[in-house]
Amino acid sequence: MAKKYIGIDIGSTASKVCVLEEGKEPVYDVLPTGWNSKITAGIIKEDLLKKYGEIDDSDIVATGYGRISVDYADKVITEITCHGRGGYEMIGRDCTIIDIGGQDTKYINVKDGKPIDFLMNDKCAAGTGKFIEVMANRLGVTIEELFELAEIGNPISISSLCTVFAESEVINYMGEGRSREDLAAGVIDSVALKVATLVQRKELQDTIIITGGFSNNEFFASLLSKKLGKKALAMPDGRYAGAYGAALLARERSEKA
Amino acid sequence: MADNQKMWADLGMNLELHDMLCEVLPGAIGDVFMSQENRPAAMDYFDMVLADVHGLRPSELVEFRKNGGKVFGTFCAYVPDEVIFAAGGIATGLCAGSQFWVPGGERYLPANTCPLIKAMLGARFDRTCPFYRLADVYIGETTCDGKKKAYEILGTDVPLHVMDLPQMKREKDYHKWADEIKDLIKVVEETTGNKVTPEALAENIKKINAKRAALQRLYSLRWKENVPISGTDVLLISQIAYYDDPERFAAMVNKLCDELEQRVADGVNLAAGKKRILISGTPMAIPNWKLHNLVETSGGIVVCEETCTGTRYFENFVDESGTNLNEMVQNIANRYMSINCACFTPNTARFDDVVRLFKESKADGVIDVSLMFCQTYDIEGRGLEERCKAEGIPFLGIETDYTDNDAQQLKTRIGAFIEMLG
Amino acid sequence: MYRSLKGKGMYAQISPTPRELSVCCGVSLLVHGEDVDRIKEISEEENLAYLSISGLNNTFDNTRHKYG
Repeated sequence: MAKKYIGIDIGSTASKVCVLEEGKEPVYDVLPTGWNSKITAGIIKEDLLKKYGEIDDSDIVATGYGRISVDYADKVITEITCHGRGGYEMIGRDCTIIDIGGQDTKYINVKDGKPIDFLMNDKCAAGTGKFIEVMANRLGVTIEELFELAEIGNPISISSLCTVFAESEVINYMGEGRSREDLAAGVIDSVALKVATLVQRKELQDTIIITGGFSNNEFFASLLSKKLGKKALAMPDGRYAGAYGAALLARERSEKA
Repeated sequence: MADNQKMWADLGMNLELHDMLCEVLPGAIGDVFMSQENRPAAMDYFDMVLADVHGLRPSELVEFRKNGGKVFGTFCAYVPDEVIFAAGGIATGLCAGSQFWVPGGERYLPANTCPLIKAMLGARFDRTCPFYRLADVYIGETTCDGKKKAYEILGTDVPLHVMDLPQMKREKDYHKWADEIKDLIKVVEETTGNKVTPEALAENIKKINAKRAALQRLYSLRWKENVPISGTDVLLISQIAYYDDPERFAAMVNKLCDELEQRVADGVNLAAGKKRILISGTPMAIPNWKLHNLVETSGGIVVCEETCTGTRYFENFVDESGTNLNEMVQNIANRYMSINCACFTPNTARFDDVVRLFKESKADGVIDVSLMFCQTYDIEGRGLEERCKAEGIPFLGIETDYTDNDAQQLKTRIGAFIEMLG
Repeated sequence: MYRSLKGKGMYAQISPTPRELSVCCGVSLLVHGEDVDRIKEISEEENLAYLSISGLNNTFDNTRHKYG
């Protein structure tokens, strides 16, 4: 059997797996991280064993917030390096990556295939997936529905950067009887604005790609492009960028060795 | 050992509260220091000072005061120890590096004040630090707005003299700082009842210079190709420099350096397979070891600190050629004015320092650390980043405080930065 | 005691006394468990005093990232 290279990205919300095999397209999988990364890592191992019989001779790189919980990984690499590598490979050229994760938003600048600069939001949920999740809950819709509603609404300005305060701001608007579409549009708009504000001090290359949980959403990509004043590309498999990068790095490691 | 409890009670400390600090420190010291491998044997002195941080040196100060000696508490690398020792006093740094003291400070200060300043007030008003109890007079300085206003509050509880540090470096500012040092001489003379004589000042200029020389020697050894000592250990030494007896301290650092020279010759290298990091930015008062611990458990080794607990404390000597008090005071002023703190404008000389130290220490990257709400360093960080970029120096900016809650996120950033260097 | 042990090439680190043993922030020597018998002998021979030798189930964890 051909050697496999496996990338495991344990994010704060979702865990992503990528399996690379010579001559085959990458195989992706995703599952919710749940409350315990160690258990999640165990479930992923069982799934891999079921699918492939054995993984002992595979090279495994773990990344993401819960990376240290993958005790069967051969190496642990930060999500910034992995996203940079995976995003670069997906688009096939140097690029600026904007990764919107469950608990943080990252800017990664890739040149000559390598991350040369990055930025991460501070300890705050503004401009992250968490913010969208909280607001979707408040409006009683799923995250997908929130994006659909947002597309047809006129954004209400949500000025609070703090998720907790923004939530009470939304509650006030709900009390005024504003439409769900307009509120949803306001929420998504505020995330795009916050992300654009985060990266404004940094260099944006001609190619900007979005990775993370909402990376396949064309509406969000066009909204973010407007705020950045530059085209940001939606990526169909963008959420797997970290896992893909981890698998690629696993392969590079083994080739070097 | 039971003596400590009695001493602390005699000093009017809040034993119950202080006990909570005693509860966490041994664990932190174990994790940060004892877990390190292949440490120099001569770290034993500094380990001992640290292990009994609130007992050993305080008991010496208690003895000193019993015989009429006066202790001066300081907060900053700009306060000239020379004149305090020349009057027969003892200068001791009043460190404020623990989250433990922050909530106490927040009773007096807005929450969005830098943790160092909050800890300073907390340690005083909560009565949980023997050094804060042992200082007869505090010497403050106008290095930032937060400290300036906090000293007003601190001064309600303890005799306090504030030195007015110039914020620019023109000819007249050097003279102004000399005038401020003369005012300090008056204060220490009045407090101790001793005259600062030219002989005593000349002697103490030499004494403090010797301490600087020892620290410079230590740094030059960690700048070797093979690094014989961890950054975490050097940080501890820099922290202890503020409150230990200067002569004994210099002797112990030199003894350590003898061993380090041997280790260098023997090829001991703690930097093998690691990335060499220069840390610039705000002071790291004891027991703040957070950044060093994070860097050195993420594939890095700290080879230089361009901070107040680093090069700013010991670079440049006081010219020893002064023949009278006036000349000596001006020489002292000139040396302290050569420190490049973000409270000055402009402060591009600090950028030059970082670039120079980056080369001298053979660093791979710079991590600029600003304590949360430290406006001057935080704002200056942008200029430093641009300068580093222009010089092709990899740069990571971090803003943090004394709490543990951002440790994992910082670990990701620092880890990614170190991966980037590789 | 520290000097004596180090002089014999044995492992010892000066460390704060763990809280489980004393509430006074004292100083202790951190030694290897397998050396304890030898240390007792040395203390007897060289007339070195100590309060007690205790084994604790504590481990150092440099990735715990809890600071004072």
